[in-house]
Amino acid sequence: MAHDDYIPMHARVEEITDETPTEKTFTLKFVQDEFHFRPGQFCMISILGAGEAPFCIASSPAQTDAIQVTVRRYAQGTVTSPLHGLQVGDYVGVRGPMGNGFPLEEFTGRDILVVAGGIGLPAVRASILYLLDHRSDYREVTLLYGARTAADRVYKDDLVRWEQSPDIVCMQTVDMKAEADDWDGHVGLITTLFEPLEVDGPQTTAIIVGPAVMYPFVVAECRQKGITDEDMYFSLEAHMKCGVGKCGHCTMKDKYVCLDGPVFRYDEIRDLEEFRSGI
Amino acid sequence: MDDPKGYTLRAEDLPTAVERLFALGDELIAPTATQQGDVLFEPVQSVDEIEFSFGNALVSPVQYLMPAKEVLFEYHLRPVQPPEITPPEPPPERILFGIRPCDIAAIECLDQFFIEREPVDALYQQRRERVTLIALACAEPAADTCFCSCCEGSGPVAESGYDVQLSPVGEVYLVEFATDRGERIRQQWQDLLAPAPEELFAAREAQLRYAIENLFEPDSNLAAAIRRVTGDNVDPRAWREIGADCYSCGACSYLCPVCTCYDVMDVPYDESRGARIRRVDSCRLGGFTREATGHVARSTEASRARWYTYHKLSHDYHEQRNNYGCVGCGRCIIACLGQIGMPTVCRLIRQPEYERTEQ
Repeated sequence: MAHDDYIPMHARVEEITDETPTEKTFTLKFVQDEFHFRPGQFCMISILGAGEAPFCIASSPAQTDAIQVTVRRYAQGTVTSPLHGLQVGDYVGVRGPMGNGFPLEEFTGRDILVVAGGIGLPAVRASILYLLDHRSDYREVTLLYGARTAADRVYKDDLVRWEQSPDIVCMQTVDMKAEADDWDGHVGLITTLFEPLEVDGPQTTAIIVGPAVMYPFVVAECRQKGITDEDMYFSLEAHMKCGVGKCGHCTMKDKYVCLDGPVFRYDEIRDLEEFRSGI
Repeated sequence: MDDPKGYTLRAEDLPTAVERLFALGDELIAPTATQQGDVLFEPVQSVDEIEFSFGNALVSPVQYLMPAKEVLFEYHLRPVQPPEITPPEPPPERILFGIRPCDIAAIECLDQFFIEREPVDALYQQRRERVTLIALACAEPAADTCFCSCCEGSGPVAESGYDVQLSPVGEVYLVEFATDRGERIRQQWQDLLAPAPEELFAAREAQLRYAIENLFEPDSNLAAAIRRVTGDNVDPRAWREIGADCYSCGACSYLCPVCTCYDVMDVPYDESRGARIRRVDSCRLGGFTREATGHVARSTEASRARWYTYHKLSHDYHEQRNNYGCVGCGRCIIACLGQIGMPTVCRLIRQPEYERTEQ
């Protein structure tokens, strides 16, 4: 890499989808570049003048001319707020792909259990799309998805499709049913989806992404089902400025979340102070 | 006949030697004294501006390799088309004259971090490739805060990392040229130099031994502290004690020549133009690990003190690269309001009561 390490590629906003009141999905088409990535990798998105922030790539790795990112707007977000103000036709900068991604090719022949909470689903969507594209390489593929309310669920069209698909077992739950919504599915924390689940523990690899508060409970459920710590994979969030292992913000012990992660096996991170501080 | 290992330069010829550097046309950066008496490395136009008799500079000359603030690129937002992006101009060729061995050792750490450890930081590399390092070794501690002798070869004489090194020995300098960039300097100085006799090397060695054994603090506890942190058996109470004295001001890391952390941000000039910059940051500041959600991974002074110390003495340095992430320059001792510079921290964490035997 030359000193374009920091120079973003140009991408044009092609489509904006309102997922929830606070989350939008942006389809970003590259002006010149081809973009190849592995599921679970992330990229830095720039709004020049406002700044740059990391987002996981939520689209299929089979597509190389555009990517999708899903962005939750935070009140203090110096980048997420202007991102939410974008219109179709506007330009953003993209740097990446960055990080390691999920080693899905190592999981061939195994059962895959994806556990996603809330805004964690975008971090595993690329993986789910990859698994479905390479369906015959894997045994059971299961998605457990939990959100606060039905309205807080992202990718509602995908979820309908996946629920109807014979290729994936898709189970959803919401923490609470709001009065206004017509949710007639499961209500309860994501851990309540585990009980009826039949899992071949030693043959299963778990992919777990969500708010950090759910981790200890999901780990306990996975262990209960016989899944080892070495077969649980997490995608972590961290404050990040450079994305190339130099700025120092995302460090955890000897690990840089941006270079060595964002995907970690549970046994690599379970004792780290920075990981534990979030849970 | 082989080239001599080193040369003799008479002490009174040093200003003449430095004067000749201007002929090379590079920007010359050298120690200068401020009105307040601090020494800072600044660009100089004449030898008269240089402070030859100094301890060490308050701010390390690594600032010319890793500036406190630098432009990554400038942008111009345009209607309809993608923004125009302009990378910065390459830096000038520079000679850094008078770098103390501790700062030379720091540059070796930075080279490892920014160049040898992938991915290469192109802006650092570009600056590094355009600089000639002329080291000025110490015959005695440059200040009472110095502890380079405890930091595995950081000083008081540099073992490597320089293009040219001048070691004061009595009335002369022993001059060593280590690289092609150094050879370029040697050619400028040819008539001022004489091949150094073996005895001069022996005299420097004796002087070095004497200084390490008699003039420096004998033991900064660094090696013992490194064993403790690499074994991860420091009791959390040690960090709480250190944290209690930390003001989270970041001064230690701002002055530390080995610290590399930075922030990236956009600085708009006007509605359509601006720059993306990087700017020195500090892991001792409370917001260093704050995420958009508001979560802060290292929210206490104790956790940040632990991280800072582990990073230097263990994680990034000793475990991965087998060298120290501290060069003993002593600037953290000068800067710290809470009087918890590196030697104090090391002394504290190696106390027997702070050894943790069980995880």
